[in-house]
Amino acid sequence: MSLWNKEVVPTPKQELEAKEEKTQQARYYKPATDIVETEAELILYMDLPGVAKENLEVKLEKNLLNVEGRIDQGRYKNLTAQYAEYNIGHFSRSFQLSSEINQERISARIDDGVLTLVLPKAEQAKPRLISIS
Amino acid sequence: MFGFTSAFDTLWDIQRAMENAMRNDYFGPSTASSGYPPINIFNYGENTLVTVELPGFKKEDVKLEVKGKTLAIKGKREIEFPEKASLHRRERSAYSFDRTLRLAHEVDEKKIKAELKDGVLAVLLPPAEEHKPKTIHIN
Repeated sequence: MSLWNKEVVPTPKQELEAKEEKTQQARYYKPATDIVETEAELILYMDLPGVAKENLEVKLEKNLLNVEGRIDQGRYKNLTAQYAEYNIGHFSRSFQLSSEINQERISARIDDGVLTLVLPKAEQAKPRLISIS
Repeated sequence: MFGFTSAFDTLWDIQRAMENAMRNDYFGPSTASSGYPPINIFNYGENTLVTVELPGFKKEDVKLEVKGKTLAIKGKREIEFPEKASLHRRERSAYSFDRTLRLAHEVDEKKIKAELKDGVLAVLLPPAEEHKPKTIHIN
């Protein structure tokens, strides 16, 4: 595990290039995501700083998984920006899922701005041990 | 902790104001300059508000120290995966950081407030009494 910690260099927030235009003009950002696979499931971890549980939306339509996290812009209302190194904005990212996922049992939880999305594999996708006679 | 929502202010206005602030040469010729993680500095009335995005950090993982006109923020985050997990994509980084900021004014240390909520650290730094702007009466 410590090998993984050394590999990744922190990068600035990635802006999302939207395919369709939105009615409200605003920048969206792509949350940094880690995806790991265990024997029984696929797990996604997404950094969504500033996103509370009630502002998080995880949608699954056909095989497209979409995560949208909105920040509370009201918190910035009476502030004036003096010096900025990062911009703020909502988060959005989509992933194409394979039919290997049991879409009914997907679970999501968000703690301290990190979303953990667990996608259990469908029965037939679990690796089967082949015995050698 | 701050403000209240208005239907008329758009996120776009805030984002544009932030972009202008990014071109601001706040630190000038001092030791501090941009580093990691990125930090924002706001004014809230006469107070200074420092924000940092620290997703996955808990209160115990962050240390804040104020001394005179400097604010030091340090922290460390570990990223853990389940045992026997195979990696598909890796974009988040586990890291430790230690940044020192020079503030525009001395701080009233008794009135500092800090909050770490949903992965965003916000530190409110009220100015020390002798540094508050004083009204000058014109006779």
